[in-house]
Amino acid sequence: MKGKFVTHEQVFTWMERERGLVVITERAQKKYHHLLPSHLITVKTAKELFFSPWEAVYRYTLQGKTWVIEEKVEHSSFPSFLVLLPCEAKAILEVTDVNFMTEDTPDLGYARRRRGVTLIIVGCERIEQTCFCSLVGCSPFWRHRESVFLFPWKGHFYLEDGEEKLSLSPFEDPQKAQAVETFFAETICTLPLPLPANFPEKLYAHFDDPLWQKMAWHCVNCGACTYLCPTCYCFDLSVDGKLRGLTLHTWDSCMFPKFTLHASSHNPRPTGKERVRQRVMHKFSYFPLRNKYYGCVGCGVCREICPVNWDIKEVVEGMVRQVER
Amino acid sequence: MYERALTELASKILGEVEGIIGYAPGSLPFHMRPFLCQREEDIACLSFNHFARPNLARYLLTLEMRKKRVAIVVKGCDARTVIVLLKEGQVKRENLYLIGAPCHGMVSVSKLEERFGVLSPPDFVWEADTFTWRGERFAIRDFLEDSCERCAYPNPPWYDALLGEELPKPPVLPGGRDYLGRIKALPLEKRWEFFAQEMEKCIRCYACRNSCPLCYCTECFVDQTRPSWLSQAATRNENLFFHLGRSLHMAGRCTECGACERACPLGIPIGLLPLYVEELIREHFAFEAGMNLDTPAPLLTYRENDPNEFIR
Repeated sequence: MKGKFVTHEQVFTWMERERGLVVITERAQKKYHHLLPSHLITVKTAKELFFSPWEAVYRYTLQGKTWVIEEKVEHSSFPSFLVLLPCEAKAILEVTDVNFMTEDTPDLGYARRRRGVTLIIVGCERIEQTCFCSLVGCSPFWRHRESVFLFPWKGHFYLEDGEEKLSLSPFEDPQKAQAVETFFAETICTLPLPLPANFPEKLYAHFDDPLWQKMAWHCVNCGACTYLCPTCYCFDLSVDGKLRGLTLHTWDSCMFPKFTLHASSHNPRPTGKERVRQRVMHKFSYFPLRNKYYGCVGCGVCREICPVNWDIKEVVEGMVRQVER
Repeated sequence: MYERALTELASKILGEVEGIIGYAPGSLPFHMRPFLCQREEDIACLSFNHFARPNLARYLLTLEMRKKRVAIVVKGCDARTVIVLLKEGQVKRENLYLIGAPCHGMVSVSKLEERFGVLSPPDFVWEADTFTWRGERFAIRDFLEDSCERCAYPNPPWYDALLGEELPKPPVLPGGRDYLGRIKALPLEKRWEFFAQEMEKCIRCYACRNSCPLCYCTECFVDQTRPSWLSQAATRNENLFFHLGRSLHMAGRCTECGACERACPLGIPIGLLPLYVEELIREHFAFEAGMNLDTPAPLLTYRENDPNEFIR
């Protein structure tokens, strides 16, 4: 058995001791406020820790007749541990890392911040109304070999891979560990089935489906879903200042008309239909076709916060029916 | 609520109008969504309740809708918005059929969660101004969205048909209109501290702008690049500049429907800024936006004999 056990106190004390180095996501904090220290540094989304809403890449000044350009490198101390839910961890490990940490051209800022951070995944005891992780290859107990995994179990924490990474001293209880594994397996069996195996290919063929128009009708094209999405990684580069200023690397959203506006003033995605289709296609077709994982982790945040109840799960299920017709 | 009246009316007018912009039950409990009813079989989906939060007037402005004669379900605040759109020449009177819905106020899910924890729909039985939770009775007004707590106009000031009876003007709730009062009571530095803190949270997703039916500029000032009015970086100052800019654009136009505030995914009380501006408009011009079609909007009207010299 791989898993061992630690007491709540052990984890709590460890986090208290390391608290300057531990960051927790708001969702994990909300779920486990009764077991974990309450005053840890929190972030709204896991991605913002590595992929900042905005950052300066270069500083430039015109001195005489030459441009002086300096790279902006941050020197502030950075946390070493990020406590998060399974879906949030999957978004980092299988989506944003895949996009930003490519071997040939990594995003330097992202890579610099991401490298020193160990993810501590806390499994979900309860599944929320908005969750649909099982549809996209995630689960309430999703684990990853490079990360620590914790799960509250009968007064203790079930622990995987935390012995060295967190230098905790867990105790072994093979029988209890077996019970945890059985519980995980049994629970997963009760969850909704994953999307059909060849859905990305089939969806790709439905680019021109008239259904998109209908589905996009009530979306107001704001960027709330994309900005709070744990996997959305699109960014923009802009300059701020004329003779002296900064080159900025900021979040951007495919929901905005300016996202694809050409210098010629032509816009290949002129209306909500094209933008909504792009968001769904990128997550459920283009990304998985290239990188084998879905670009959505089923966390349900977008469903929760949408001001007009535009529901990606419902749209994807609708498209599943449409492609199988 | 109003399902029968809605169905009857819809069957009567669908044909005269090309579509009915209304609400249908959403995909999640305690959520309603905008719904376009265009066929006989869609009529059964139309519904209205304490969760019909979005201001539907926004949907009148899509290209496709501008060309059609449509009916729209409006609460008091939404109807006022439609009147502003009419005055500003954005929609045509002959293209509109207003279905008024007297409104008891929208219920805030977060306030329900605060009181009842994890919400389970079968625990609730909803009536017009009360509801029961596991048999215990509560008043709707204790769980209203902030924007609805301060509402003074539950009935649409103008409509073609009304679902149900007009409601009496709601009493001003303690802490309701004072929502703004609480901020005004603070000394200047504290007010700045409050806004600085709130603006720090804003990620500029523009959910507020895009949910607002009166924010209809083809190109928003924040998206302009020549010149670029504000930086793309969502810093406190830039965010404040955006929200202040928006509030000023709304001056004398905002109908205080609260759509912006309810749309904010980070719970920033952005309604405060336009609300304060509207209070100033009331004070200086004795005017409230969207109350009727005839009173000229003070900030959108030019007169050669204006008593103020600076404007002539």
